Amino acid sequence: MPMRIAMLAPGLARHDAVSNDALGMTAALRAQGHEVALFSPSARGIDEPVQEPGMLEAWLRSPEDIVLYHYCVGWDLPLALFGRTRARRVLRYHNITPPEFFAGWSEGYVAACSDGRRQLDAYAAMGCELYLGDSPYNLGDLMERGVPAVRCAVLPPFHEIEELRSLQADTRRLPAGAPLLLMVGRISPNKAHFDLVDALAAAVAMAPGAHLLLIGKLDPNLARYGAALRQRIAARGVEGHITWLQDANGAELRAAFDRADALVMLSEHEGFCVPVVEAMALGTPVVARASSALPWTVGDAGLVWDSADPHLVAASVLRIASDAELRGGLRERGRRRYADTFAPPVLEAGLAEALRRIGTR
Amino acid sequence: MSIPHSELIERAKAEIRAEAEAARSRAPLPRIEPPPMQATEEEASRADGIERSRRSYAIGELTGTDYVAFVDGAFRALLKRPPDEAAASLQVRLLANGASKAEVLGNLRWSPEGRSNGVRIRGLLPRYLLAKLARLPLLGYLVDWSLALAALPLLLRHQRAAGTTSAAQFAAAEAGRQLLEGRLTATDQRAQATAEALRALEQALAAQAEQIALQLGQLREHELGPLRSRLDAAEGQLGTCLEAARDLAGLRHLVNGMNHYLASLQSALAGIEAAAAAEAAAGRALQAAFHADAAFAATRDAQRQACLAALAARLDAGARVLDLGAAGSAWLDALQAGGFDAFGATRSVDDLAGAATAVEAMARIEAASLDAVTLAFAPLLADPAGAARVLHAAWQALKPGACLLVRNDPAGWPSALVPPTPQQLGALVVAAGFEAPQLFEAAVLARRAAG
Repeated sequence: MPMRIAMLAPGLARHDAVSNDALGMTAALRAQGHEVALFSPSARGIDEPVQEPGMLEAWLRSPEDIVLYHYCVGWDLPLALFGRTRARRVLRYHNITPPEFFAGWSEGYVAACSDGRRQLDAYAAMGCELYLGDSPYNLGDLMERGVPAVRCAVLPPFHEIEELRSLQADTRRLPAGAPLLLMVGRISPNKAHFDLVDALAAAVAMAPGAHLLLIGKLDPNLARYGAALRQRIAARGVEGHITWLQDANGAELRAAFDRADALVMLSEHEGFCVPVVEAMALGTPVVARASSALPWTVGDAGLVWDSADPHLVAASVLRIASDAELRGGLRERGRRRYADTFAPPVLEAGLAEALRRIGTR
Repeated sequence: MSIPHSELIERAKAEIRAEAEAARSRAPLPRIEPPPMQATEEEASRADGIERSRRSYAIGELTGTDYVAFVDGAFRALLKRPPDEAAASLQVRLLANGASKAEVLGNLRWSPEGRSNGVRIRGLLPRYLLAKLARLPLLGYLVDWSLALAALPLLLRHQRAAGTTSAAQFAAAEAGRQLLEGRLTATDQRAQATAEALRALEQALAAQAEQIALQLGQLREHELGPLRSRLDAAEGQLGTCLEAARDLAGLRHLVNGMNHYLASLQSALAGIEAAAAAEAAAGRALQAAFHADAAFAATRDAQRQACLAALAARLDAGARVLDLGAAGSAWLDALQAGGFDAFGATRSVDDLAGAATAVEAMARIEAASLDAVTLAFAPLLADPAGAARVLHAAWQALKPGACLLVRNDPAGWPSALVPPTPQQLGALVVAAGFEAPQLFEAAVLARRAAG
């Protein structure tokens, strides 16, 4: 039966992970015959109407309507709305980085993340009709606050990997080093870049041509962390072994996955980690630290270690580069995991099933 | 036979561990002190010259410099950070295209980042508005002309003053040029004298070099022959030593690898033994607990079945049932399995905060829309005011003639309180507007009066 769904997000922009999820969900729900309207206080580069969040309550007509909120920052408006609306409420939880990762680097980030995580208790106590987590790790945050499992469902985020796959690779700015380690993601303390630089130093000691391609933007508010990262690179003496692209486009990202021997993801906190799924879809083996959501996202399709021991990570990449059988096996598993768990048809079916559950409740 | 992938990966991981250990012993990474944490605001200001705590400026403080220095100062004052290359170049381009400094300052002050910083520049707003007004088609042209005409007397005064200043600066520059010319002549004379001295030194050095070459030739003849033969002998010995060292290194790596493997094996065996012991202890504890709980579970299941049967006798299949205080899902599952359209609204109603949550939850439910409400925990009823609010909210949400079931499970009672008797519970629900209470051993079922 067609439903009316208000999709609420704190911001919508092209190539942003949460925005990709909101827009992907919107398209999938419309294809399933539902009426969906987008609400957000800011929208950049989005090719469809986006309404002000203040209009949302007027848009709702009946208690059978659904408000689906993408929760990834502290924002008072949805909290108040969820407390008073008679419509059914779906909380799409993308996780919020714990503030302690930013202590000493940015007071602004510490305050914003603390606010965001504080609201988690309120949402958990609210008895929303459905809690949708990107990963079992995200749902763990909610269930340890008392949300019953029967109201929870895992739905990996919608993404634009198929679009990335269709791009022509642009290799002009890519380094020629081998073996090539790749890291994709914003420059942020929870992503453990110091461990990554240490792993690169160990790799260079084992194979002098080793190189790290670092793709990710540095927020000016984390300039102190960026400066400390540069100091670490200099202290390890690997300045000549790193190429850092802060403005890579889709074609360059595609080329990076093609050329890299492994995606190396040593983050200490990830709610899901879309780059890992991109790597699996594009046939790049993954080496990762077993922290937060990463073991689930990688599954059996990568080399996952309990620590970010630099020699272990370096030896993993070198082994992948030199062992065709292992490399082939990891690629095959990655492609299979993508097709079975993260491909768009799987996500569309999962979303339909989750909504069917609240439809019958 | 092909090796299954999981076996291949596990074998590869074991070998990677050994390779990593070998690499660590060959070339350990030197320890690096943890990265410096955030300095205090004052220390940061001293380091980069940004006055982070300063929230107000006069416009003249920021317009005293020009070009890149002006843009740099504006970023540091308004955004409390140095400019990034792209943003600085944009503002410099604006200045080069004739934009006023007030416009650049305004652009930064009222950008999203500038708004969040909220630095106050006295006198900036009217200037910025005029600058923006001048950007409007046609109207901007008129505004520009009007401003230029109005400022004409002032511009003429500035021009005359600039002429005088230029003349004074030209005179000063001329005097400076003459002084430099004199210094240049003196420097030239000193350079010529130095060149002559260098030529003399060169000749002396050439004579010394000739003498040294002569002595070196003599030394070669007498000394070099024996030295070369000793060097050849030493090289031979060194080669032998190096070969022996290579063999030794290979042997050491093998021993290290084996040590690592044995240590891992020992640790894994200890882990398995500990896990087995823990599992055995847990099994014994579980068996004891199972026997203890079995009797209680049987009683509770019998009470639950009695309640379900009573509800089934009064309700049709598919009836809409709300369960308040569904701490566990067993009762809710039982209701759903019994064919009711049952749903839970709040995790707990066993204290005052829970009562408020329950009332809020029921306020979201349409009036007279439910066929039954079940209260899974009755301890709330120990608080008469809370009980009255919850029962009233339930009364409103129920259809006339619909059912209220209050389950008085003693297991849910705080040990400090004495559970009420079914008769006392019956009196309480009747007082809240329900009728025909049917009393069970641990529950009361009543009907919502037509009201």
